[in-house]
Amino acid sequence: MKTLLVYLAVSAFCVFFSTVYSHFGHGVRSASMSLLFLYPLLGGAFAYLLVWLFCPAPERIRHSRVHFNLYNAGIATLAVGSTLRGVFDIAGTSSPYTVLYFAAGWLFAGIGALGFIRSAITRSRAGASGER
Amino acid sequence: MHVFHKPFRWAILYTLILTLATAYVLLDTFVIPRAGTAAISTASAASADTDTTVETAAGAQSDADPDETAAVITDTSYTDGNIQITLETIYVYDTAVYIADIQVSDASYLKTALAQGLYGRNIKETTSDMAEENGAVLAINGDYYGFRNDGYVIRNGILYRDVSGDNEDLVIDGEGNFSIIDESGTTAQSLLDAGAWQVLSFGPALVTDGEIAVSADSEVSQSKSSNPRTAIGQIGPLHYLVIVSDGRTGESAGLSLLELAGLFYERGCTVAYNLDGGGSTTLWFNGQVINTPTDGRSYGERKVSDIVYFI
Repeated sequence: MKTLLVYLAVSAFCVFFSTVYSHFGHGVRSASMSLLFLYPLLGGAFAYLLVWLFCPAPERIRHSRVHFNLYNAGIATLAVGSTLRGVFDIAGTSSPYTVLYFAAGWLFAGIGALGFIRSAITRSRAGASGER
Repeated sequence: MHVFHKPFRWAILYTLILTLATAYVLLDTFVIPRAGTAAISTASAASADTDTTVETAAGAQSDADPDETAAVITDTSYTDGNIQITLETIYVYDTAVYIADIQVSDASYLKTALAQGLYGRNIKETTSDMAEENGAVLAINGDYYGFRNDGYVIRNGILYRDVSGDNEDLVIDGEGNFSIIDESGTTAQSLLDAGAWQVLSFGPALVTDGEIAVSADSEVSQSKSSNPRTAIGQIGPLHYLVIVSDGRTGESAGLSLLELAGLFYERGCTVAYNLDGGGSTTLWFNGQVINTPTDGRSYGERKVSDIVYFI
């Protein structure tokens, strides 16, 4: 629940940051900047809401700490990559490195999510076996 | 590996990595100068006595004969045997607009220059410094090619970049005639082979075939509202119009692209093209900056990659 609230706060900060930055963009808009908040909101808060609803046992999170760390790193990387792309869009330039942020971000988030799901399923089966 | 099970250690380590990586990307994009080399290839007039052959356009310009006629210079005009320039300042659309009408005797009087004489990213100088170094009579900022990694770059007959940005480009041939091309439909090499002497990649085209080519909705992605603007057009053979507007100040709101296009259209331009604007916009004439360069936060000339000038 704490992680969910942190992600909500980060989403709100992203909305504030992109609004202020775009205000000084002399009319230039960037979807990467305007929609920046979606990464922490959907990838962070919403994802953790699902975990909280369907996998409430805290020990499952503890046992999947590496996966959660990877997932959080992925969402952070995607958000920073989107911010950079927005800054470059508004400035009228680009960088070949921004694509690396999205590649690394999706990779980390994907590995983290899959790892957590696999871990949760394994523990669920182990728990079910133990109940018999 | 156990260390990464600790949430805060991982968060701190990864935040540090992300911060350093982002700092490098920002510095690389905005600060670190990186000289490049021309995508060298030469033309019919190529010299054979060098290791690298610089390819120039087929219709390469020849230097015009120097004219000994003494120049007559006033605050709003310049006249010698080869160049006649008159500068007019008007106030329209709540904006100060500077209009230079330029007639030259030969296409070689219309030139471009690169900052520090080098091609590359983040290699910059002010328009006025480049103008003075090149002995310009009138100069404007160019397309700021060095702020982007794509968009064709041909300057003074040399091909520097053949990477399409799907932009509309201004092509100036060896005879000094303007035309507009779409990068998605051709290569810079083929433009050079066809005689392009200068190719500027920013846009959009404001006037083509004597008709306004933009609408109120079709705005360049780099600036979508009223802004300081720099643009150049052609009225007839060796007859050009440069229009620069102030903007982002209390006195001047700036122009939309449609308003800018209208000014060229009213003055009979057959082709007109929008160059880099905003904080880059600078008009230098007879040794001084004429407009009020500002990025909206502070006043003063921005350093840019290139200029278009008359000598």
